[in-house]
This record gives sequence, C-alpha cells and structure tokens, in this order.
Amino acid sequence: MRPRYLLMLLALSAIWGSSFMWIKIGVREISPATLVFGRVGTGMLTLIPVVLLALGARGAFAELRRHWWPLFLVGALNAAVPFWLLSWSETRLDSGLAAIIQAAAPIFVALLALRFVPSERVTGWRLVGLLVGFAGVGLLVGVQEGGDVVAALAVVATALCYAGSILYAGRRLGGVQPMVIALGTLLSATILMAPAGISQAPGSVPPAETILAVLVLGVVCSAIAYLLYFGIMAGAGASRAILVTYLVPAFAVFYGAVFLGEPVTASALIGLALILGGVALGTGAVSPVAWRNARLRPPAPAPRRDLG
Amino acid sequence: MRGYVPLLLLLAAIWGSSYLFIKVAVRDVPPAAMVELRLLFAVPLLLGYLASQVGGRRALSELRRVGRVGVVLGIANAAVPFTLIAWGEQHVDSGIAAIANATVPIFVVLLALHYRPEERISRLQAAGIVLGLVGVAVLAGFNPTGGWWAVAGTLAVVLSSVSYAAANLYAGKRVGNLATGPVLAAASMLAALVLLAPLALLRLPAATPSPQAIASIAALGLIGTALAQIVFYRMLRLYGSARSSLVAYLLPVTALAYGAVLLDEPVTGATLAGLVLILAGVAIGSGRVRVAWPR
Repeated sequence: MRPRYLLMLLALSAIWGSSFMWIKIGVREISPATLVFGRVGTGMLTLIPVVLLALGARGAFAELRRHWWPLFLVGALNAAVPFWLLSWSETRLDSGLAAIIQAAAPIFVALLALRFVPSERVTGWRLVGLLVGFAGVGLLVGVQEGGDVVAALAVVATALCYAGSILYAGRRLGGVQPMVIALGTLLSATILMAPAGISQAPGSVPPAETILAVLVLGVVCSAIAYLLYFGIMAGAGASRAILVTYLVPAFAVFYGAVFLGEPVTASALIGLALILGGVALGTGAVSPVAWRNARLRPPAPAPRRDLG
Repeated sequence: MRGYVPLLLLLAAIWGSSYLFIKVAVRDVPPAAMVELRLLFAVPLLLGYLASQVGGRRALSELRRVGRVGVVLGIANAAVPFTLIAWGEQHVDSGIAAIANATVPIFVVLLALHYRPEERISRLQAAGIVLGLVGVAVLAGFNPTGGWWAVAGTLAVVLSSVSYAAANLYAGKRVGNLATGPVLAAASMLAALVLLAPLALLRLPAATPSPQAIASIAALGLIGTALAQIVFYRMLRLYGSARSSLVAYLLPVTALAYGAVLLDEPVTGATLAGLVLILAGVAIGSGRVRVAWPR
C-alpha cells in the first residue's frame, strides 16, 4: 500500500475510533435521538457543498431521485437505526466496549452472505473464524450485569444493521457514486430522525462540550470519514479499506481509557482478541491453508464479489 | 422496490409528523408567526422543485398564469387552515388535532350538498356523515384535561378542515386545466407567505425562540410541508387519486403514534372512539365504502 493510503487509513481509524468517545460525551446532556439528529444533520450539511462542487446540482439531484428508495433504506439501516442504538447503549456502556462489540460487523456480513448469497460457502478455517468471533461477542455480552446486557445486545444489533446494509448496498447501489450514497444516506437519516430528535431536544442550549461533540460527530466522523473511506476504497481497494475494522476498536479503547477514564478490563481485551481474530479468519483475510498453498501454486484470479 | 405500500407508509410517516412539529413549535412562537416561518422554509423548496421539473422560465410563466386562483387557494388552503391548526394545537394534543383534521372529506360532501343543488347522496352516505360528525363531538366534548380551551382548540382544527374542504371544491371548479398540482402548491403557499406577513409581524415571539422551536419549524416547512407535497404529487402521478387519498386514513394514526411515543400524550378511549368514528364516517360518507343491502 502506498504511504499516502496508509496515512489515510490511520487517519480514518483515528476518526472513527473517536466517534465512540464523542457519543459518550454527547449523551451525557442530550437524548440519543437528538444527538443522532444533530450528527446526521450536520454531516449532511457538510456534504452538500462537496457533492454540488463535484457533480453539479442537476447531476446530484438526478442521482438522488433515481435511487431514492435504496438510499432511503440504507439511510435507515446504515445510519439512523444503528447510530440511535449505539448512542442509546452508550448511556449505559463504556465507549471502548461498544467499539469492540461493533468490530464484529464483518462476521455478521459473512453470516448473512451465507444465508442470502447462494454461491457463498463457509468451511474450514473461515468457519472456525466465525465461531471464534461469536465467542468473543458472547463473552462481552455475557459479562455485562443486569440491564446492561440489553445495551450490549443493542450494539450487537448495530453490527447486524451494518452487515445487512453493506450487503444490500452492494446489491442495489453498485454503480452509484459513493459520494451520492453518502449524501443520500445522511439526508434520509436526517428526515427519519427529525421527529424524535427535535421533540426530545432540550429546551435550552446545551453546554459547549455537547455542541462540540455533535459537530465533530457530524462534520468529521460522518462527512469527512465517508470521503476518506471511499477515497481509500477507490485508491487502494476494498480489501485494504476494510482493514479499518481492526484499527477502530483499538483507537476507541485508547481514547476511552485516556480521555474518559474508562477501565480496560481483561474480559474486554480477551473479547477484542477473539473478535479481531475471528474477523481475520472468518472473512478469509487470513487463511493458514492458503498461506501454505500459495508457495506451491500460482495465485488464482480474485473471485469477483458480485452480490447481485 | 418502489411499490405502492412503501410509498404510502413513507408519506404517512413524513406528513403525519407535521402535527408533532407544530405542537413543539407553538410552545415558543405565536401561531401566525410560526406559520409564516414554516412557509419561509417550505416555499423555496417547492419553487426549486418546480423549477427543476419544468425549467425556471416555464415555472415562472405557469405561476403567473395561476393568478387569482392561487391567491384564493393560498387563503383557504394554506394561510387560514395552517393558522387555525397552529392556534388549536396551543390547546390540544397533536394527536387530537390530526384526528380532527381528518374530517376534510366529510365537509367536502356537506359543502357540495349546500352549494351544488344537483348533488345527491345516498342514505348510507348521509349516515356516514352523521357518524363522522358524532366522532367530532366525541373528540371535542370528551376532553376533560384541557377544559373549554381544549374544546375551542379542537373546533379550531375542525374549522380548518372546513376551510380545506372549501378550497378543495373551489379548486375542483376553477382549476381545470389551468395548472398542475405542484404549480398550485407553490403558487398558493407563496401567496399565503405574502398575505400572512402583516399578521405575523403584528404578534412576534416575546423572546428569541429556542433552537428546538426553530428546528421544529424548519422540519415542519421542509419535511412536513414541502417534501410531503412533493411525495404526494409523485404518488398521485404513479397511482392515481383514489389510491393516493388513502394516505388520509393513515395520517391521524401516525400522528397519534408520534404524539403518544415522543410527546407522552395520553391516548384515551374518547380519542380512539373519535378516530374510529371519523375514519368510518369518512369512508362511508365519501361513498368509498358501499354496503350491499339484502333484498
């Protein structure tokens, strides 16, 4: 990977990793729905000039109109619902822990692909990876006490949402410009969150810290992060872009421990190791067999991951 | 998938949220000023949409052609009912307002009977209208929490339904081939924006409204007014007026749900009885549902 993309990858991981901390700071003062509404709203407002400059008003509008229904669904499944669930669960859970559980999303992608993509098979080391990853998720959910189990399960549900939306977007929005997908997602999430977000807003202006958290979440963690992510995808390929999954929880645990004084427990570290190991094996990113065989055989052409 | 049912549910969800946004907004902003701000957000979006559909020059000439019809509709279909609903929601829950506002088709039939002597309805339809009016009485009369102000608030919303019904009949007679829906919507709301300005300036909010109230008005104008209109016209074009008008039955239900879940409004037996009576009255009174009598 060229150093430029490595740098972008690190920046993206640092940004996305910090979102868990900003959410934690935000939900101290305002309701999760208001936080999410503010986040997707400012993210949308940030992306509008970018998309207008890149595509022109007419082109952007036509693209949004043509794909309004899948964009609307992705907005619900990839932003509104998981953001809301995550923000709510962070009213009860440590931010680092939430990030670790969410890192299991690729495992759910593999699992859902198994169910909905007929050609997909998971055997051998990949199956072991899935099981290891689930063991990690189960461990982290299991060690929560009382009502926090529900919060941990809510984070698991966000991972499921992301997995479902990735598969759906791959199938229905394959040829659409990434920038348009990002804008459409944030636009429809803003519309969806408006009733709950506005009606549960505080009557008075929240403290500066809260406003800063919402602005950073919207401008940096949503708008800029999307642009970086799609930039890496375009320049270095999807298999490199997905590496961000491994780095995000590490950054999030670091921020949580340093800035919020969250404890780094043994169960969190074991869960993190299991989940990341599971993701690496389960998605086929690392395969002991392929490693051994690679020296014997010429590499096969990469299979086209066409989900449609 | 761009099927009928998803579009219908989506429209009910975004349109039904208007009553919630109004309720939050009138806590801080007097009714006329609130409606003026609402239109200030909605009109540019509607005009922009129209221009993107037919081109700027043609949009302008079509708007000019609508002329006086646009002004009358601006009064009867926007300025008056919007203000009445906003005033009413100062005194009643948003869910109640949405149910009271679902009576429009009943008044369309009643006004048509009065102004068009040749208009005839069946005995069943008449019974449906009585049923709907009983529903209004139940909704307005059994509202013990708010006292007389709540009764007045409900009746103000009912009066807005009468205004909508009159606008509906007027448009049916006068518009003909004059203009399409989006042109009429843009023209009438633009007219309402201008006409309401003096009234809005007469009673400005006492203090700077809270960010919550401003956000609520922005969402009301952009989502509950402009976007709802745009989606509704799209639906009309794709599925025709009979299937599109079914959204009217869903609106009070979604609005009631928003109010109950997000604003902790109580859902009482009287509210539900009023909802059922009014929707049944609308279905039977407008002649949509016919009963085969045994012979």
